[in-house]
Amino acid sequence: MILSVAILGRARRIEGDVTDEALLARFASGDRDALGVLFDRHHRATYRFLARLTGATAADLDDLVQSTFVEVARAASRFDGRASVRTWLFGVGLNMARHYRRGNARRRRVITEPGDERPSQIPGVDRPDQNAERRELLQALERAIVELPAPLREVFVACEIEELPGAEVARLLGVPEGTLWRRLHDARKALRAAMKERS
Amino acid sequence: MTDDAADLRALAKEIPVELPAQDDLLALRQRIVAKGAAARRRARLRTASFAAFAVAAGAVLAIGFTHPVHPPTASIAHYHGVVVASAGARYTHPSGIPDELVVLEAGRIHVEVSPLAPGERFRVRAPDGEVEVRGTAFDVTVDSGHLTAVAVAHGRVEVRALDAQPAVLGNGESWQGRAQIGGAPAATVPVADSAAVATATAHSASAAAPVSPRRSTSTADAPANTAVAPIAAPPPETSATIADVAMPSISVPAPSLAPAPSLAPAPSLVPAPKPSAASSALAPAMPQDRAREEERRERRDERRERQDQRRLR
Repeated sequence: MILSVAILGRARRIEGDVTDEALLARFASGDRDALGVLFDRHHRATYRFLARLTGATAADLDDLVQSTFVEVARAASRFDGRASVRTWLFGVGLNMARHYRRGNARRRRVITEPGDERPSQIPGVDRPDQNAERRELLQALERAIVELPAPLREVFVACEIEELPGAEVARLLGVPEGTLWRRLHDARKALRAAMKERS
Repeated sequence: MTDDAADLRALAKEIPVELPAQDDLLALRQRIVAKGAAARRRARLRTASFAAFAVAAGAVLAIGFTHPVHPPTASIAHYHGVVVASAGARYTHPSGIPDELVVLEAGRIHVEVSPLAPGERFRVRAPDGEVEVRGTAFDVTVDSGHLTAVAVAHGRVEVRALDAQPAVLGNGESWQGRAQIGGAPAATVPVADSAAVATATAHSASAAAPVSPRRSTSTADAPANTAVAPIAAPPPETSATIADVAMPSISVPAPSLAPAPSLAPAPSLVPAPKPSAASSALAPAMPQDRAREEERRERRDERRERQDQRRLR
């Protein structure tokens, strides 16, 4: 952890004033380290985004993240700047997630069993009983998100969890903004219903 | 409702992210950087290959538009005259239809000209005179820088020499200039009487043999029936004077057999340096070769990339 933070931190210090767009341009022109810096900046969000979209296992997530960044590298020279690099990266990840869901529909594990999960500490919750209750709540929400229909799940993850601009997400998904907001509304409604049903 | 949405958002963002261990994360980072660089290289190579192919295709199109590539038969369709050079003859054929000109510097050439359209000319220019024809077969001899003899097999020619009155020659007639050296007078030159076939007979004292009929590159596709065939048996030494011919000779059908100027040409009787028309016809093949080479190189690089990826796995 310390080693990673040190390496990632050094990269941030070196490239801290360089925008994502400049990094992508540098990589496209031959600076391979720029891709590493992009990975340092966005790997956490990419993991989260892909995990929420696919509900994939940890091993599959690693493959998905790797495929996403390699695809970003391959298409770096085609980045046109109409959206932010982060949105563009998630767009690539979205395609990867769709491929994954199609290819693994039958053998995909929709939701991870509690015993198989990596241990996670809920921030701000110190008491073990509260921690467990909170964890159950979050797991229920995670399960509800994964069980959403794909169009609603994509919109909810992109707009609510990753907080991407609605216009960019609409362009990313290829739908009108009105459709996007309607889907977001439906997603919230379905999640609330799922959480009420649980409680 | 808004609060509900905000709460839901906050709760969703609170769902923990399952990141791999740091060592695994670093290994993943290294794999991504290596594979990403390879993928970018491959993409750039593909783009470059496509660009090279596009440039080659564009070049082919550009050449096609600026220098229309005609088959060899079409490339010489702008000549009316068939020039058969004797050994030792030096001549050029600098212009074609409508004002076709053959400049004879030395030696003897045999010329056959298909019928000219109104306004078209065909001339053989000597250092001190010229011969203008209108569909005929005739011999012209230049010796020591002077027009020395003209013999008409058929048709009509007008001879205009510097020190002589213009003369019009008809079938079987001949003209002799002032500087003829030795040999039989032009009027006695044996000329083939066939309208379709010309006979080249050497008047030069040094080389009295006709040139054997040979196809040049520019006339390789000419039909066989347009060949200037009945020529005396080719002597072995005729090739010694090939280099003296500055321009490729062009063959066209004899007047009586090939009245249309667009007909396929007869084979050249004089071996010539590579004709420019043929060169331009071959030129577009070079970019295509380069494109194929690029494709081969791309496939080779892709194989290497796959091997690298297998090694990485």
